[in-house]
Amino acid sequence: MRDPEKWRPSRIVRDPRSGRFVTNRRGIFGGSLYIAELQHAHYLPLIEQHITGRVLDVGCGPVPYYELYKPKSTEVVCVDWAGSPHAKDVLDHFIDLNAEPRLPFPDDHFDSILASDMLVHITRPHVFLAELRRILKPGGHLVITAPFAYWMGEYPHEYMHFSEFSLKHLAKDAGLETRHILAYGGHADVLMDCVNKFFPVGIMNRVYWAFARVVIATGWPRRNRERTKGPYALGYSMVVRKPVV
Amino acid sequence: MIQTYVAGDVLDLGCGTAPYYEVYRPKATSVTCVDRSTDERVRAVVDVVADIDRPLPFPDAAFDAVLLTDVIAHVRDPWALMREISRVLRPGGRLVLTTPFIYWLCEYPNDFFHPSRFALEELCARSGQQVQVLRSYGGQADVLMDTLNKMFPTGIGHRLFTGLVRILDFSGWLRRDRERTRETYSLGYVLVTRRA
Repeated sequence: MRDPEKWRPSRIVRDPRSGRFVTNRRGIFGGSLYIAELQHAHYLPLIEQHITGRVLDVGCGPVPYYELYKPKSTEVVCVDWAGSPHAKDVLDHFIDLNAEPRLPFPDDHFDSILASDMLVHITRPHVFLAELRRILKPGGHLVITAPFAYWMGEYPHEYMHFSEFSLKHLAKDAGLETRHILAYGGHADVLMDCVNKFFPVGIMNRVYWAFARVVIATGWPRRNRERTKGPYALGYSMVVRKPVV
Repeated sequence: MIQTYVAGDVLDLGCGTAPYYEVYRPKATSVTCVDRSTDERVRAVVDVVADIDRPLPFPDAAFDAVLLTDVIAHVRDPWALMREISRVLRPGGRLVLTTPFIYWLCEYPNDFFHPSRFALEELCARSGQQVQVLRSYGGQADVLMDTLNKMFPTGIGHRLFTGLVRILDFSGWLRRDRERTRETYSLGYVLVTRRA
């Protein structure tokens, strides 16, 4: 990270009372309140567990999970492109990954790589994953998160939505072992997220959130999710490893 | 689109039960239906049983038109399939493709990629095909309605749902919303390309 002093919390903050990381509702787009809660419950433990040592945060945006992996990391390298709508003081490298697929790092360089909600912006994912494999140390982990039944949040920089099956194939074809892949969200969650996107701001956003909390409290989304997260996934998280030869 | 562009020697790839056969038949001089399914109804219409994840069993420049309706999501390597389609198309030949975008995994677990408009453009550019028509269909309200519809596929719930859709359609909300959100919230796309 080029200038850690300039880093600010975005998607998550540490709750001063419990000491745990929670969704920072003031730091995210109002249309993403619902999905953010789901994503964080799902990914944060994975990031905390697997993102360690010399870390590459690729397509990092505002580096939302920096505070989460900082205690276990020895070095953090942040890469995003110059067109990123997020703060740029934290970036170490400005790289357009679609124009320059070769990353400026030696082979076997990183202990872990985080590619969070950015694979959708990559035109040739198989080329990109092969490059991540090259710069990962043998035994090193790559954590990928990717939305599925989801809108184009950064239109027009949006390419493929991947199902769990294409993610698995892409990893295998790139020479990476899948350690874990899980869907988050289900049919009810896709519906609730879509309604949320109608009310991203103002009083209606507050009304929506009050309504969503009632719906969540009924237990319906949770029960529905267990049954439908295969065919109706809102997104996926995945941990893959570069094999130790 | 199918009526306009699918003509001459036609290849219906991943044809299923060939639901559009009657639409393109009048303009077709020959029709070749290909599918990998072992389903009896599919086998009844198929000319060639082939896995479209593998190189297509046809010579170069063998067809005037390829039809690929809601198939590319079910292919492991869409980049390779698009190259194969370019190979079997004659120069100037057309591909008509439809595919869902913000949509569930149909035929779970055989669902791999949901390409956006930009991914489709990229696939065409990489396989030597020029985009002639690329239209998105549906918008945010349609995604919402489709998601609801999938919760009520049968029975009284389905009838209530159908009634709701009629009311919303009549109110004009669906149409107005679609104009506003068709690009960011596309349910899917229709693409026509021309082989360079």
